[in-house]
Parts: sequence; C-alpha cells; structure tokens
Amino acid sequence: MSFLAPFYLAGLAAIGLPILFHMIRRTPKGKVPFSTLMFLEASPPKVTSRSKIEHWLLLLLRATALILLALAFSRPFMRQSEDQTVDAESKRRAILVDVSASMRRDGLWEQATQKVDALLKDVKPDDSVGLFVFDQELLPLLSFEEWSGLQAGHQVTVAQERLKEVSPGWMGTNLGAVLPEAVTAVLDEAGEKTVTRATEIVVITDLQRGSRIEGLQTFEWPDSVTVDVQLVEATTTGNASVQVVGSVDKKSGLRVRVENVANSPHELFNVQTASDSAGDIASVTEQVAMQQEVHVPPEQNRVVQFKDVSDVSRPVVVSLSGDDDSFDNQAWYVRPQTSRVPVLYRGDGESSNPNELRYYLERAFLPTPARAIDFYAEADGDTPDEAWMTGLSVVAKPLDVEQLRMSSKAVEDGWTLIVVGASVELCEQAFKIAGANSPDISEANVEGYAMLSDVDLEHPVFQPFNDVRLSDFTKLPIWKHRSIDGDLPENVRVLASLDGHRPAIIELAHGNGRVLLFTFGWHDADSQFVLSSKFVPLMNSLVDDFAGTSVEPPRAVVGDQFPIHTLAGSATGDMLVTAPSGLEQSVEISPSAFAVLTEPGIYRFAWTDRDGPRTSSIAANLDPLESRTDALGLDEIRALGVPLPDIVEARLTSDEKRQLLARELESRQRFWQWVILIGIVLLMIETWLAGHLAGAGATTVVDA
Amino acid sequence: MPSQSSSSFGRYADPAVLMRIRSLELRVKAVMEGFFSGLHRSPFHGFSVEFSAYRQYSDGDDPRYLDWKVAARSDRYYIKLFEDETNLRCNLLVDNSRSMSFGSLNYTKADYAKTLAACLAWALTQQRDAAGLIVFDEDVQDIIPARFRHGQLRQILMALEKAEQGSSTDLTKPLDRVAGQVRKRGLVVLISDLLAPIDGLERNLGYLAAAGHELVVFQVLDPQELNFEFDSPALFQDLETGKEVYVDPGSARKSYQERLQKHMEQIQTTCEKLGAIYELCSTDRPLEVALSEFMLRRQRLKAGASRVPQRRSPAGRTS
Repeated sequence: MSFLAPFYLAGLAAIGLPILFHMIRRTPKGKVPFSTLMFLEASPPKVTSRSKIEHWLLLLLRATALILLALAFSRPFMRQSEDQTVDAESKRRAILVDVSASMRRDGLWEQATQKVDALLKDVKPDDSVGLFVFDQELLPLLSFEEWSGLQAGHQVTVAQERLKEVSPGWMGTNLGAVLPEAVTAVLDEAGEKTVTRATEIVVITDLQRGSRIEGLQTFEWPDSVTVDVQLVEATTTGNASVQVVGSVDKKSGLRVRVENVANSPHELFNVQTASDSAGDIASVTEQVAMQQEVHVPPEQNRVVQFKDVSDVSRPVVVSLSGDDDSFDNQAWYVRPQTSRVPVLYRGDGESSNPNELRYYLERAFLPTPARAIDFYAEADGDTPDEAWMTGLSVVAKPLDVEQLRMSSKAVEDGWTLIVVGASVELCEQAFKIAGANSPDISEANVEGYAMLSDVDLEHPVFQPFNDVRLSDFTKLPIWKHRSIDGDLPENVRVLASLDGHRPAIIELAHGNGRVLLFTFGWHDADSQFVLSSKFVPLMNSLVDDFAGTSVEPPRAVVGDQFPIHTLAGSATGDMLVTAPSGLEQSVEISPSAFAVLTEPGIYRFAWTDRDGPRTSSIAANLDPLESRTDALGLDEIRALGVPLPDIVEARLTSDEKRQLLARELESRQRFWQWVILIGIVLLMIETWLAGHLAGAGATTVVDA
Repeated sequence: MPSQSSSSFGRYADPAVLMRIRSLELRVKAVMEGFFSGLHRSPFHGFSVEFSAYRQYSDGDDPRYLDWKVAARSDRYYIKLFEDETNLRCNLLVDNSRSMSFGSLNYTKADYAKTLAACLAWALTQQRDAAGLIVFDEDVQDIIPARFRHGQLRQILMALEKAEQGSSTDLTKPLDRVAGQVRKRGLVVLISDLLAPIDGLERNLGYLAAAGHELVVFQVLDPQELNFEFDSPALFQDLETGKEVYVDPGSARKSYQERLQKHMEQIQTTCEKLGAIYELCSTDRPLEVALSEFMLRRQRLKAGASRVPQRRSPAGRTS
C-alpha cells in the first residue's frame, strides 16, 4: 500500500480532537455583558478533572471516521503492477506515416522513412509496435498482432521492407479522422497487461494546413495515450495550386482559380490550358492552347478566365508553373454529358398563337448544362418513336380508348404523364390512366376566384419553391376548376389544394410511373397559370424530376468512391474503368458498385447498354486542401486537446515519472472512493448513536 | 437577591417594585412621603436679599432679576446679583456612564442612582436648600446650577430622566468642573459605581475638600457585582470598552472578589482621609435605608462638629 499524497496522513493527528472534545466539559455559552472587566482575568477552557472517557464506542467511531478521511485524502494505491511498468518501460507504440499528396514534395518522404528507421532502431524487445500509413484513412502496414507473431530479430526488418513498398499517393489528409482511428487500433487488443504500459502514437507528417484537424475537436482522448508528432520539414515554401471553377461553356469560357499559400516567395505564375479532341489525355499536355500570366500575392487567390474555348465538350487540362512544388500543378475538367429529354405535348394549338397553351409550354423549358429539351407536339406528327418511350407527356385534350390503354401501360412501366384538367372528362381520364376508379368530378362553382393553398413544398416538384420568398401562390387567380368530391383512391397524394379543401394538383401513382393531374386549365378561361411566375420554374422542375437532372453532377476528388451506376443507369454487365495512368479495371455494374479514384486525371468508363457500347469520362482532381502546404504549428494541435508530450514532461526525472505513473495507477484504482464511503457510513452510525445516547441521557436526568 | 432584600427590609418599599414606577417624580414621592417629616429642619431658612452687584443682562438670564429702574433711567438692562440665595448649596454628581447600565435585577444601577439623586434633591428642596445637578460619563453631560427656586426640583428630575446613556467613566472632569465652578462652600454628593481607576479620585476630591466642601460618596453596586454569582463559563463583555474575555466564574470568583474588595477599601480609605462620607449602596437595598443611613451619619458628623474621620466598617455591612 502506497500513498499518492502521504502528507495528508498528518490529518491523522486530528483524532486527538474528538478525544479532547470528549474531555472538555465546559464550553462558553454566549456572551455576558458585565459592567467592568477590571477585576476579571481570562481563564482557559477547563478540562474536567475526571479524565475518564464515557462513550468508548462513540469516540471510536469518530476517531475511525477521521482516520478514514485522512486516508482518503492521502490517496492510497497498490504498487505491485506499477513497479513492473516502470522497470520494464515497455511500450506500445503505433507509428503513423503520412502518405498524402503533400508528402510528394522534395525530400519529405526520405525524411519520413529516416524517422521511421530511427524509431524502429529504438525498439526494445518487449515493445509492441504497429506501423501504419495514412492519408484520408488509416492503413496498417504491420499490425500489432503481426508484430508480436514475428520472431524477435525479424520484426524490424519486416517493418522496414513493408515501408519500402509504399510511397506518397495523391489523396488528401484527414488527421481528424485518422488519429481517433489510430487510438482505437492501439487500444483495441489492450488486455490487462497492456493497460499499464505506456501507449504512444507517433505521427510522422508534414502537418500541412489542409490536414483537416477540426475533427479532433470533439474527440475524447483516453488518459493512457500520448501522441508524439514528428515533423518532416519541406525545403520549399512556395506552393501554388490550380483548380477549374464552375462549368465550362461557350459563353463564360473556362475559369481557373490560382491559389497561393502563405509565406510564399512567388507571386507570378503562368497558367496554360490544353484540350484534346480524341480524349486522349496523354497528348493533351503537348497541345498548349492558351496561356496567361497571373499575379497572386501569398495567402490569396485569383480567378483567371480563358474566353475562347473552341470545343467545350472536350476534356481540358490546366497546368500551372512558377511555384516550387509541382504535385498540385495540374487540374482537369470534363464537361458532364448533356442528356436530351423529350417533352410530348398532346393537345391542340399552333406554336405561334399566344392564346394557346402550346405557345407557352414550348417556351417554358430552359436548357441546362445537364440536359436539353426536345419539344414535340402530337399535332405536328413528327414525334420520333423513342420520344414516345422516354418523353414526358403533357395531356391537354381527351384521349381515345386506345390511347388511354397505351398511356396506362406506359405509366405502369415508369412514364410520367401530366394531365391539364381543363374539362371534367380530362380529369376522369387521368384517374383511368392511373388505373383507379374515378370519384365524382364536377365543374366547380367559383365565386370570384380561387387560390392555391397547402402546397406540399416537400415534394421534389415543388422543391424550387421551398423558400419563404418563393412560396407565395396567392397571386395565381383561378376562375374555373373541376371539383373532385368523395374519397380519393389510396394511391393519390394531394400536392396542392384550392382554398384549403378541394384538390388542385394531385399525384396518382401507378406501377413505376405516375400521373400528375391539375384540376384547372392553365390559361385563359380557367386561370392565369401560364402567365404567373410559378409556371416556368414548375415546368423545369417537373422535367428535372422526371429526367433526374436536378442535381448538379458532383466534382470528383482523388480519394472519392465514384458510384458507377450514375453513369450506367439501368445497364447491366461489367464496366471497364481506365485510370489516368492507363491502369484498367473491370467492375460489375450494380447500385452499390463504385470506382475508387486514386490518382488525378481523366477516368474513362466503358460499358454496354441496350443501345450498344457507351463511354463516359470524369475528371478527378487533387483535394484542394492538400495544396495548402504551409505547416501548422504544434500549438494548434495541442489546442485541440491532442496529448502531445510537453517539453516539461520530456525533461522529467525518473522520480517524477514514477510519481506520474503512481498518479495514473491511483486514478485507476480509486480506493479513496471506497474509504470515503465507509467513512460516511460510520458517521451516519455515529450520528444515530450520539442521538440515541443523548436521548437516553436526557431521560435519566428527568428520572433523577 | 430581590426577594431576600425585600424580606430583610420589610417595612420599606421594595426597590424592585419601586423601580417599576416610570415617573421619577412619583418614585421619589413614594420613597420620601412620610420619610422626611420632621427629620431635618433647616435653621437658616429664607434666602438672602443682600444685593451684591450689577451685571449686564445677557440672553437667557431670568428677567425677574432685571433692575427695571436702572433700565428706565439708562435704557440699559442690568441684572441684580444677590449675595446668596440659600444657606445650603448641594451639588449632586450623578454617574451616567455605560457601566451604570448593568443590572442583574429588573432595573439598572443607573435607575437606582437616579432615584437616589432625585430623592436627595426632593429632600433638599423640601428644606428650601439649593440643589444642583451634574450628570457625567467621561465628560459632563448636563449641568443644573444649584439654586433654590420654584421649578428647580422639576428641572433636576427632568434632567435625570432624560439623561441618555453615556460612555465610559471618568471622575476627573466632573470633579474638576465642580471645583472650578462652585466657589461657595456646600455639599457635594457623588453618586457612582466608581468602577474606574481611582488614581485621580483622591486628588480631585482633595481639591473639593480643601475648598471647604462637604463630601458625600454613594457607591452604587449591583449585588451580582459584589458577589459574582455567575455559574456557567462565558465570554464576558466589558460594557464600556466592549472588550471580551472568556471567564470561568467558578475559578475567577475568588480573585474577583479579592480585587473588588481591595478597590473598595482604597476608595473608603481615600474618603476617610478627606473626611468624606462614604456609603455603599447595593441596588437591592431599599432607598430609604441608604438615605436614612446617610442622614444619620451626617447628623452625627455635624453633631460631633469634628472633621476627624471616623473609622467605618467595610462596605456591604452598614447596618
């Protein structure tokens, strides 16, 4: 039994107090005013002449409680196991080596391997070591189990060999995720034996500013783990990076952002772009198309615009020169493929007559980089066959029986049909197409005009209006509409109501598709819908929702897992993924399949669907944060609570270390809590006993 | 204590009952009615009408003594001063320091002392003698010059009644004041607990004695002060200084009584040396007893016409 704070044992002297109090009979009771103290002398508190202790049990309890208090304060602990630790000083150590893109800078990797070698040389026979590399995630090169499974002399050699096989990749750094993961790995198989060992994580990194350390903020570090950050220092400080901003089109051309790090000695950079018709990226760099000089002060960025892009559909590569580090001096851009969405109008009217619905509908759809609209009117008779199969239909005049049957089948297969319910018949047909029994539908009797309300803004079609500034539908007067009475079928979702209770826009689900029914006509006699500010956004939203083009295609960053089914759609079979380096890989197409982007450049995908062979490509660029190569200070890491060994601690003598270990041991054993608990119980017994004795005493006095 | 005292002095008014009378005047009457009848008659009654001098009138002078004839002649106001107003001038010096506010009975020493002073003033006025009053603590609080005239008694009673609690005791100043102001020989009565260092007492009383004043000292003490019969140990607080001392009465009683006895003996010796009458008044003694004791002694002193001090028994055993 040892004590962490033995000086508190001096408190044991306090057991004299209850004994003294037991003896003292006379205690001052209040103040007595007296005319003069001239003739009085101070007398000391008097102790009874009778030195007999009356309540042995009470005294014993009080003294024991005090002894326990003193013991608890002096923090007792058992030393056996702790001694082993101190003597052996064996360690459990995880060595983490940074292999992110920023480690590609001159000389950093050599420094890192040297540091690892030095650490491996220091390893003692009893130590347990794990070797890991990390960028965005932690990868074990040599796990703790493997280490302990290897022969004693062999361990270091294996570790060194494994390290030789790796080199910095192209990924970003995410220390915030990696360090907690390393802690778990270190403590994972921490059995009883290892608990008392010193556990250390050694991180060998360039600690560049873009290391994403924010994740450490919320991490609770276990007491037993310390982190030693060993920095590798770059010989160069001036790094600039280049990224393609936004999308490339004819109008705005190509916009490139050049970013310079803090403390950079360079300010003037040269930006070149090249594109390639064949899509062969190897030759791109040889075809310099345009170049510009740009002046970027340290810690700032500038956007450069290249106006004359000859063919926006070709892949573009942008190169930067003028800085010290070249690993992040290229950026790639591939324009996402534009899909063509056919819209079929099944109604009357001329394209040039502003009194007709067709006039407005034809002009409502705006092309986006992701999709273009092919507008077909049934009346023109020039609708290609595939448009019938893949298009979005807007029905504005009653269909015949055959058309109804065909449409119903198409909707069941996944079609979307919009019915402009300008008449009771049209409304009834919408229910028929959706395979539901039509409820009672009649011409509504409207006094003045009705307004749209209760719009379901959560529905994907109404998403563009899901903002307080845009969700006002009250400026859309509806003079005539159809009233649907009775219970609606189960497959109906009401998206908007008229004045709160009559359905205005309903969605009828049928098979894989759906029918959207508007119970009012869109212009002239019925309403002013086509003239309202809601018409164009709603039509585009409908098309995007139908074609799945509402989401901007994401920009791929090295390290991402690219979901290949977004390219292949419903196609099946294998997809051939060609990496920028020419490495080919075959992946089976499924909703969960993905291609890991491991290097920057253009990734090409080739697959076959029912229309024959298809190809597509995406550009994978470096993580922009990886270019922020100016080093973080250790203070910033420490501020996030990372238990770095302080300089003070490094200078600790062995005595102080022993004391530290004792403290740790004590905090684990926590005997003092039990001692305090027993003390409290004793005091409760003492209180009860004292009360009992006092009661008994009082009774005897009365009796006497 | 109170019950014992009232039983041993059965025919007198019980001080505990007496002190319950709020009005000092009524209290005095209760003591003095009948007590004084025929006890003392002054052979020199009437007051002097012998003119002595004129003095210029100043604000606050009694307009009765204005000489109107002089005023009519010269248009100036003069006060006629007379040779003397009475034959006995008595100054009552009443201690009103904070120590006097102690009382283990239902009343304090100050109550007792004031009643005693009032009784004396009443008696003097009854015999047409001039009575004056000086109330003091460490300084003089209030002075009423000794006179015999209508309303003097009331003024004295009022002054006694309104006297507020003072601070500490200092006998030097009031005695100095009397020595300085009262030129005419007369009677000086000091009523105090005399619980203060007595270094200056002998010197100051000596001045008065030398000036031909007849001196009377009433030492008013509470029975608890005399006997110190506290039973439990406590913090004792000095009423005048506020000092606190932890005292166990059991062990302190003996030395207290010895020291008090010594102090009282010193006072007594001083009084005897100066030919002053010393009277110890324990507050549980009826006032009449204290008064008659004093009267008797004074008469004896007068009859003896001697200023040779008489040997008295120690305090507390006067009867």
